[in-house]
Amino acid sequence: MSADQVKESLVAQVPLFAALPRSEIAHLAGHLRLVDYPAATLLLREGEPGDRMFVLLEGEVEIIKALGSDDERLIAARAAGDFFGEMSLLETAGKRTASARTRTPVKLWELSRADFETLLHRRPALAYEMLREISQRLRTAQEGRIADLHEKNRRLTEAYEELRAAHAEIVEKEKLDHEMDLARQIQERILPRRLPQPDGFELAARVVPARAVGGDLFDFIPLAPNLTGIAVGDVTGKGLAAAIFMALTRSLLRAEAGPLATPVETLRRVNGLLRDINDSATFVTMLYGVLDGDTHQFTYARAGHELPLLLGPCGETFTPDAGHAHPLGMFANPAIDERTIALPPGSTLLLYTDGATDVRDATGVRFGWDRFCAAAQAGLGDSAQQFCDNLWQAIAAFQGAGEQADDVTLAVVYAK
Amino acid sequence: MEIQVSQVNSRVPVAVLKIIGELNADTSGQLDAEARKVYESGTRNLLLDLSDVPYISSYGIRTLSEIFNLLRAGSPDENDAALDKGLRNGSFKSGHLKLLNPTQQVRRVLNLAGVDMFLQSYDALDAAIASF
Repeated sequence: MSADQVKESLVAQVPLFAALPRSEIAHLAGHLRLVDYPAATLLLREGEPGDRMFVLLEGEVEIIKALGSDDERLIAARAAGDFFGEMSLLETAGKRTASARTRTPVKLWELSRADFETLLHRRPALAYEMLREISQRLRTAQEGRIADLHEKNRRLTEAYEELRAAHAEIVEKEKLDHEMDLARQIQERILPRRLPQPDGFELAARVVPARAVGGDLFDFIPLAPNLTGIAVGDVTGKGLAAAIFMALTRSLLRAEAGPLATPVETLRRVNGLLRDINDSATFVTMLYGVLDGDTHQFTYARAGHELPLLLGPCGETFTPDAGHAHPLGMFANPAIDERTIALPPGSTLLLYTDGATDVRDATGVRFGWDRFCAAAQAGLGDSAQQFCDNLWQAIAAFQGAGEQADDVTLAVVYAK
Repeated sequence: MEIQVSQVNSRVPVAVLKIIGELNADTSGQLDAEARKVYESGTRNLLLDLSDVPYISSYGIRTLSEIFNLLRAGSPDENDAALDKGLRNGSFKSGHLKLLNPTQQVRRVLNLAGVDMFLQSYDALDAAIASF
């Protein structure tokens, strides 16, 4: 078999040309240019002008839309016997409607636009054959596009649902943040902003909540010209619920405190009222005392709270003995520890909540009693507010990047 | 925090809850849940081993109080009147909830909050179990 005969035989095996008469096959065999390409060769680029079509003899070619973009999609694969690149030749100065890239090494025939047009004029039947094939391809492409749209729609619905859930979450969080913000404002307004300054003493306080709002409280209540009620308390818990319970406790304390009621009587009444209205297990430790400007004495009642720390004029520290005492709300008739301590001129009385000694650094080490005492002693001679601020600075510096787990409250009385 | 539960059968069955770690606002709920589980399984006597609890916060105290109230609920000799009377004259001791070997730091907080007035602490396991 001669080389021409071999070529004619190959042309005759292509389904598109199979029905052509021998003379036409011989003519085509003379005009088709045989070329080889390695795998991954880009034969056509979408959007570029098309000047030839191809008939695949060996290997595979991928037809790709939107090549190189996020939307890239393989729309078809062509195998031996298939033709491709014909679409742009059907339009004048038509552009490639897709890209074509070899998947394997290929052997193909190229047919120029001029040869293609001449062939169609000479053999209109070939146009029908091509139209049938193109029509089939269009249907397949359309079905693929519909499947694509379904998939895109499904993803959009999914994304919409996720967006809706995220939006609901944000709204809920904003609502909660708003509530927490309101609670913090209420708490700030509840706690005294202006402190009484009884003759012979300086008073100061500082609360640093662990969250936006906390369960710690302090109060300075003018009871009589020479008597000032002072309280520090700690509700078991944190956050909004603790803050509400704190506000309630402080209101009850304000209502029950008076110049004629001893601190123990006051706390017993507060305990009774808390027990009446609180059926949960929440309770509050509190130290409430009356500062007497005449005697320079502080008589306090302690309900399960931390002991006060007294710093003498020379820096010596003193903590009273701990008598029996229960937190408020724990029992109907709690034990309450009552003491009287003298505040000589130059001494500083420090009331606090356990958050102050329990602060931890980033490695989990507690601030502890010894560091707390040393930091307090370092403020010897400071004004009450300066003492308070410096002590908090020392606590905060120790804490560093550590998380504040509990509210910190400091209340200071400096005897002039 | 970790809680190891064991059962000791002495005069009465006693569940021993060995707590390893701090009892604070974040961990106390775990103890509460474990104690309720033991209670619901029928055990009415609990010994909390605190030898590996370095710290207890007021939240931990609240949890001890809740477990105490849970266990005394079905015990006529620990009703409110008996508790009130016992606390007044200093004679009350919980018969169903006891503590084993609290550390010095924890002992201090138990004392400040008056928990030692109604929960007895023991230094040795045998003595603690025998006391139920």
